[in-house]
Amino acid sequence: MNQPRKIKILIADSQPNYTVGLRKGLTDVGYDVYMAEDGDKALALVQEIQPDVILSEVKLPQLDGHDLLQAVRAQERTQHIPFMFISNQKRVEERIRSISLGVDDYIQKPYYVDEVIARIEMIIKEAHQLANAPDRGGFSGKLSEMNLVDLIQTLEMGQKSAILTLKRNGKQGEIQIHDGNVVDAHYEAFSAEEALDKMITWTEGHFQVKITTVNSSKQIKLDNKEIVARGQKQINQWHQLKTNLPPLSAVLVLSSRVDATALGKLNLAEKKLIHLMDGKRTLLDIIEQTSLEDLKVLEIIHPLFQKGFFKIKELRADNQNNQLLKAAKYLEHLKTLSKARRQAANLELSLVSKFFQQTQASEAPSFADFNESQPLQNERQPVIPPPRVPIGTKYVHQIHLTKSEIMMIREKLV
Amino acid sequence: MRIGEVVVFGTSNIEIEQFIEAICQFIQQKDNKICYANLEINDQLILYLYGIQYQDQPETIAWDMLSNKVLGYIFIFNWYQPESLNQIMDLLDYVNEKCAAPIIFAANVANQPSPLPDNLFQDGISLNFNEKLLFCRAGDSATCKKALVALLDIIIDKL
Repeated sequence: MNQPRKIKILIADSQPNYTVGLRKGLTDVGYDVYMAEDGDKALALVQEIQPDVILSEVKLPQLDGHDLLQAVRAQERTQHIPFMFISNQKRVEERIRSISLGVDDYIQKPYYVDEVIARIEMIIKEAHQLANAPDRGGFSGKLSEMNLVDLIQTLEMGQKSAILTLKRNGKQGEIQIHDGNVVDAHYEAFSAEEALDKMITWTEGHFQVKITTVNSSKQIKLDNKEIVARGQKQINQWHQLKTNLPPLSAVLVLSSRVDATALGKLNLAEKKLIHLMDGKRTLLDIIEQTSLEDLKVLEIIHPLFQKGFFKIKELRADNQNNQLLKAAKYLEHLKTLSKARRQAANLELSLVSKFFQQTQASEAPSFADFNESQPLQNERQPVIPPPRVPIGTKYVHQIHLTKSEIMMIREKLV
Repeated sequence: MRIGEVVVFGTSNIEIEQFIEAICQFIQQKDNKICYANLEINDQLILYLYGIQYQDQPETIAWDMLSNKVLGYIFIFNWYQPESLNQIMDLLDYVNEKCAAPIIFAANVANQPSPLPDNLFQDGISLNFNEKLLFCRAGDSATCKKALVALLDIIIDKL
């Protein structure tokens, strides 16, 4: 009968004596433990044994822990391997680098062996779940999180053939991609480059990617590089313009202060847009009801808004999750209450907190406080071990500064 | 040296950096995901401000390191961009799962007129014992500091 494969753990630490307890603990629970005392050896071992988890000190001879992490993440064969730092970083630059590099977990020295084992077990479980996730032959998501340019780049990297469907405000368009290259696009009456230009700036709505064979011939003359460069430029302009405009869900109406003379001086495109501001259509409706590119519409509307030609009549919910609208409505309600009433209106305030979906603190194991003022020479003296904190468990928030210290910070700011 | 840490989350790097610069004068270090600045209170006490942009995969942040010493969080979002708040909400759920600490929602109105009467704009609104919604203008020292002070006030009340 085949024995189940043993989990391989690689520990990279320049002071092997310090890891004796950890090695023993990991071996006792059945892991195969491999040791490397510098970064180069650790990287060589990663290639050779393909460990299931890597535990590394940040400070390593040769290649340091951060470089090791980057090297592991840079290679397709190894980029999925969970990586944990076990270290005692004091310098803020090191801390920032570790935070931003995206390690899977970080354990502060001195550590508790049981805690490390618990975290490794959890990380292996998570990695296993990820590896066994069903392949649905595609993916979907919000355009606010991944726009068309991001999607094109992603599919290009994987040289995938796919049909990309974008949906916004009840309308949808389609982009066909063959071996990572954009070959055709359709949106309403538009096709090829025109359709692409209409959809490239979409940051509202949803997308769906279906990985499939695409047989269409190339109707779009631009190559991916040109599409991405053009798209990014348009998206940047779109965001810049949008910052100074009402939300897309705002219903627009002509300002009563605008007189006929001012309206008469507008050009045809401006007049057409102003005509659509009838107190019924949202900015998004207006954008979609013109044959112009979205960006062009904003470019025309922007100066009109600056000059006060139109105003917001109301905000309309564009979907059920429009949290801002709910907040705005609630704030409107709060305005009608006196301060004393507001303070008393706990029930009402709890509605707001529900809106923010606050998760109340639950009973959770506490985590040892990191004592910055502790002298360096005491770092590795035995300390009371913290309770085990599995990954995914909430940390209890502890304020480690005193009230007077917080007051001092406050004084400095006011 | 005693250190306090505050994390500023947001959807826009520019907004986050403007907010932090309004408090600390300049950003000391930054990459595409995170920026850092500090405010020296005295020779024994220093405040670190980390700015972290919204990420699709918040688990790539080393939460251990943040939750160990963080005093609280400031979530900055563009009041006029609903999707900015929606993204923040996703992150809020994740943060609350990891380490529930005092939170200030700093609604950035940039150069737009105030959406509320002056008193509400100035004082903000307490959402519960641990959270407050405040308006600010990213880059404007007075309103950004006010948001940070509001966070400290929540913490002081808890001590």
